[in-house]
Order: sequence, then C-alpha cells, then structure tokens
Amino acid sequence: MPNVKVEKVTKKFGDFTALEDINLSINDGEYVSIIGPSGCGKTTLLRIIAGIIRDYEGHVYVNGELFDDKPLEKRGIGYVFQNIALFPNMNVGGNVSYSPRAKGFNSDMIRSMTLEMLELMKLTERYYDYPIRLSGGMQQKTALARALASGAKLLLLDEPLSLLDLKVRTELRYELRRIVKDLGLTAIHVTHDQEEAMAISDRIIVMRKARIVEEGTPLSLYLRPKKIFTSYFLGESNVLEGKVMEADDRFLKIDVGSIILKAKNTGFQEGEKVVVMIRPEFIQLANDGVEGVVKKKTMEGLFTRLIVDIKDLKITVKQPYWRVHNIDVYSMVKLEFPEEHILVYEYPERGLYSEISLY
Amino acid sequence: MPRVVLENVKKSFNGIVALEDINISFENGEYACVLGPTGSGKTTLLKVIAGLVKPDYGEVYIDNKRVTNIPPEARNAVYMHQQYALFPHLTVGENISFGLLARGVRKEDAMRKTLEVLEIVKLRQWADAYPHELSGGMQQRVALARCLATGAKLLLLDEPLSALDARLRLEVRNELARIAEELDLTVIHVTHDQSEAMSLADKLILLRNGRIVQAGPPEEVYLKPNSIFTAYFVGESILLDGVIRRINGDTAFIELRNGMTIETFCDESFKEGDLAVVAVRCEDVIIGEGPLMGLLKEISFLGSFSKIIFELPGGLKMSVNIPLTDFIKSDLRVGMALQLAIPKERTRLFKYPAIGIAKEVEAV
Repeated sequence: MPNVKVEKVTKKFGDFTALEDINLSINDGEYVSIIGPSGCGKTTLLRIIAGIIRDYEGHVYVNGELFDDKPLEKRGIGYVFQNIALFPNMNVGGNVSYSPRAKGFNSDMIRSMTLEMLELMKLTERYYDYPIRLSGGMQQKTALARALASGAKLLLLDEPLSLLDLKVRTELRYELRRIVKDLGLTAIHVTHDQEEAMAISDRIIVMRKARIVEEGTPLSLYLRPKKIFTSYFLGESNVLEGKVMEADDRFLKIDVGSIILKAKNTGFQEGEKVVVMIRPEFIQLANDGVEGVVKKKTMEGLFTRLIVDIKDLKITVKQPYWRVHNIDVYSMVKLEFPEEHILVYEYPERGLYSEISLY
Repeated sequence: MPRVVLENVKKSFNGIVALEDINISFENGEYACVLGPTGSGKTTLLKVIAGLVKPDYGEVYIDNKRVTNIPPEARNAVYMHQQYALFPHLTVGENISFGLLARGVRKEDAMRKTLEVLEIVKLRQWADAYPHELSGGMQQRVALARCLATGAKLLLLDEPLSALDARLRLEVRNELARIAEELDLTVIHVTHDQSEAMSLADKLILLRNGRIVQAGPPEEVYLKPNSIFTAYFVGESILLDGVIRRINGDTAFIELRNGMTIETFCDESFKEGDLAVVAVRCEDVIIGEGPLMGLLKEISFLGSFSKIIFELPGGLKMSVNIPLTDFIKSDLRVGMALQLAIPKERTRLFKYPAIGIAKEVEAV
C-alpha cells in the first residue's frame, strides 16, 4: 500500500524532452491511469518510477523513501511491460510462481497464489505451456498474473490489456481493478484506451507533450474539464470558436457563428474571444431549438451519431438509437444546447489548433 | 467501383481452417466492414480478394470477371497493410510517385497524379515534407494517398486506423468515409473496433472461426442479431438461459436458472420444455420499474455512458448501460435495491447451444 511521489522530474533524450517538470503524488491504495497521445511521455514516466530509467532530473519517492538511487530489483514493484518479456525458458506456471519462489514462500502458498492468479486470467489450462506457444493476448495475461502474484504492493502497468480482444479486455479490466482493491495495492496504469482509463481508475492523469495537462476523477474530467485539451482528448466534444456578445452576473450569450449560445458566466466579459465546448451527447432534440439539417446519420451501437448542419456550423450529436431511430438524413431537426453543459474557455494565446494538437 | 463476389471460398493453413464456405458479394461503391475476433479469418479474407492468398477452393470475381488465378497487380485492387511503411528518406510526394515511376508512368504524369491524390487527402502543401515531420494521422493519410495513386477502385484496408490514437482515429475515420464517397470506391475494411465498423459500414460482416456469422446493414446486425454470437460480439448483450415453461401464441415464458420468469417473443421453431437463451441489449433494461428486483452492486462511469451491475436473486448478474445524460439526472448508488424490467419487444430468443453459452461465445 505504498504512496508515490514524483518531484520536478525532467527527462531529456538528446534534444528531445520526454518529460518536463512532472510533479505527481499518488496515494496508498489508489488506482491511477495515465493517458495521452502517443509520444507524450507516459511510458517514460512509468519507467522512471520503476527504476528502468535512472538518469533524470528531479526525485522519486515511494513511502517517503528517496528511490532515485535504488536499484530496480530492490524496489518491490510489479511491472507489466508493453512488450511483455516473459521468461522464455519457463512455462506459464513457472513464470507466475517465479517471484513467490524467489521470496522463499512455502510450496503450498506458492501453488495457491499461482493458481488463483491463473484462474483469474483463465489460464489454468495453459499452466505447462511455454510462452512461445501462447498468443500475444495470453502472454499478456501471463505477465499480468505474474505481476499480481509477485506480492509487490505497487503495480506499474504499461498497456497491460492492449493485446487482448475487446471482449476479454473489457471483462478483465473489472477483474483487474477488483483484485488491486482487494489486495490493497497501488496501481499506476498507462493506457491509450480512454474507456479503460475511466472504467478502472480512481483518478486519471492527462498528459500531452511531456507535461501533465490536468488530473481528476473520471467523472470530473469528463464533465468539467479545466483545459480545452482534456475536453477535446477525453471523449468527444464539439469545439467552437466564439465571441461574448452579452455578459451579466450569471449568463453569457456567445456568438459561435451561425447561432448564439447561452452559457453560465464563469468570469468572462463582453467582447471577449472564447472557445466553447459541448459534448455530442448533451445536445438534445427539442421542439423549440435551433433548426438544422441532418447531413449524416450513423448507428454505432448504443448511440447513433447525427451530423447536423446549422447554416455554416457542423454539429455532432449523439443520442441513444431509440430516441432518433425515426429521424431521416436530410430532415430538419431542432437542437437544444443545455447551458449547464456548455463549457467556455479563454481563447488560447497561441491559437486553438496549437492548444488541441496531439503532438 | 467494382463489384466483388466470393463463391464457396475455403482456405486452410497447415490443416488449420482460416476460411470456410465463404459466400458473399460486395456491391459497387459499397463500404463493407469485416469484424470478428482475433484469428477469425478477417485478414485472410482480405488477402484472398487482393490475390495475396490463393484459396484452396472456390472462386473470386471482380466485376463479373473470374480473378481467382489472376495476380494481385492485375485485379484493379489495392491492399493496405496493417503495418503500412512510408520510406523515411523520401518526401511525402516521393513516397507516392515512387510506385508510379516504378510502374513506368511518365514523370510528368506521376507528378500530376501525386498532387492530385495529395489534394484528395488534404496534404498537398506537405508534398515536400518528410514522414517524420508529419503526425501519425497525416502519415496514415499519405499511406492512403499512395494506395489511391494506383488508380484502383477497390480498396482493401487491413486495420488501417489501429495504430492511431483514439482521438485521431475518429478524425481519420471521417476522412476515409468522405474519400470513399467522393471517389466512388468499393471499400472492404477489416477492423476489430466495433464503433468504427458500425459508423463506416454500409454492410457489416461478422466472422467467427473462418465462417460468416451474419452480414447486413449495421442497424440490422445490431438490432436483429441472428445468433447468440452476434448478440454477444456486436455491442453488449445480457444472455440469460432457461427453460420454456409455456408458449401462448407468439409469447414464450422462460423460467431462468434462478427461478424468475421472463417473457419473450418466439416463433414456431420453439416448443414448451426447450432449453433457450434470451438475449437483451445492456441498454434496453429499464431501471426503476418492472417485475424484477436487483441489488445495485457496482457503478462504472465510461464517458458517454455508465455501466451499472445488478445482482438478482440466485446470484444472477445483470449489466445495464445507461446514457450519461440519464445517469447524471439519476441518484443511483451502490447498495440500492431497484425494480428492473426487460421489455419483451427488445428481447431475442435463441436455441440453447449444444456446446453451452460460454463456448458458443468464446472467440476461438
């Protein structure tokens, strides 16, 4: 149940800055995910905490102890690599029981720990197979079982489910969270799968271009992101540029081109240039909304996506399929933009594109 | 805008069946997505059409012409690999013109064609840049432009977006749809991403163990799954098994394992006493009213929707998806006991599979 503290960590590879002034603190028993575009530094950060990368500026503490000079094998960390790295000369059972054996546990305990983890990963039948005989997904599950059986209290997981089929992946993420919580472990989980991050974590850290953009609970980051980038990157948003036409104590009227949107005033002045974000699922079809024409309709399972043109503005709307099944392409719809879900941001100095670009 | 037909296609590799009894046609200008678990034969299907894999049995027709024994380059089709690779030492423009020049196209024509396809993927101003100066999504578009430059009207895409970040995938996905429509291409696109498949496809094809399980428009596959496997694999379904206790006209009363009874529609092929499986979409369960009683065990927030796990009498678990807009208006909390209903018109009834449900839905 360790806590982890990362203090002013900067890492450069030659001219390339992989991490810049990272400050982070993770509590006992917390499940934290790190998300961000590829190349944002999330794997590097994990490797620094693990002790795989040793030359960096700043400090890493685990349970208050300075870890910067502590060798990898003494850190007591369970690590699942992106490119797995099982012991090729050991079978599945041997891989998973490696750490308990190395710690000198008695054989009953080793067996029960190993079998329990294999059971959880549905790998019991593969006990005697060598890694070379396993699919990528099974190797990944073996690596996860090995990390969980290691007895380590701090787990660092780099895309631990990425090679699994969607169905298995979505089932396993709940199992993974449950066992981490049951065993009282602390987990730091790097993923490119946003839904996975939201499902599994107590807290999400969003990174971009070597820096932390924002952190928070999945719900708060999704509903009330403080940064334009978070709103853009996590889930989907309609991103509109606008200008404040009217501002009073409570509300704003913002001209976003073809329409005027009403939003809560969170400290803006008349005439200010702003960025407005609204998630597609919050835009409702209503009897007295703004008129637009449905340009495209695609059923994507639980949600149906509508692309609606309001004069020059293209708006994406997502609604459960049963609410929009009788709306045809090219028909007229009326859209309502609930003010409580319209997020307004200061127009970024360097322009909107540079604020939301991924790399 | 070619039409593609596969007739009784079979293919094995070292005795392992990759494709079995494949009969399907792709229409002019159709955008088809092939979905299925790892190892279901998706890539092999694409390679058979491309001419990169020769079927053991059966025929492939492109535009009513038998092409089974015709080499890839003579098929008017272009295959884009999962791991498309741009030449790092060539500019964007050179990456595209290279193939044209190699095929003996005159230099001026190659340059003109290169700029034309770069225009289509909206990268004309990047012709002189090197691949490393481009983002992942832009590189993907260059690879696509390279395929388009061949002039082929049949585009075979193998997981074209899988290397991209989620956010980028959405954008490139829209580009693909636009280009396919503008150029009137026939596209066959293999993917493991369901929402990608559903949003792009005119026709969705679900493969399992080398066979086509179901093919049709995405709505149809989603709303009218023809099998337990489709109900399970496309979208999310709750699968409940039990015995048909009574049939009254077109309504069957199923007694579930935990003793509860639910109603479904059924056809003549079912009779009283049969073992059956009821499938219902996770979002179709109604919370707050109805004859069932469930204890709320877990809430998991997933962005645009949330997943709520209920436990019913007898330890039966039911996973219900609700849209975010409903979720934030509700006051659902772990530990609540709530009424639940499974609307009869949203259920599908299937025969109990001989190998059991778990094996039936297992990927391989």
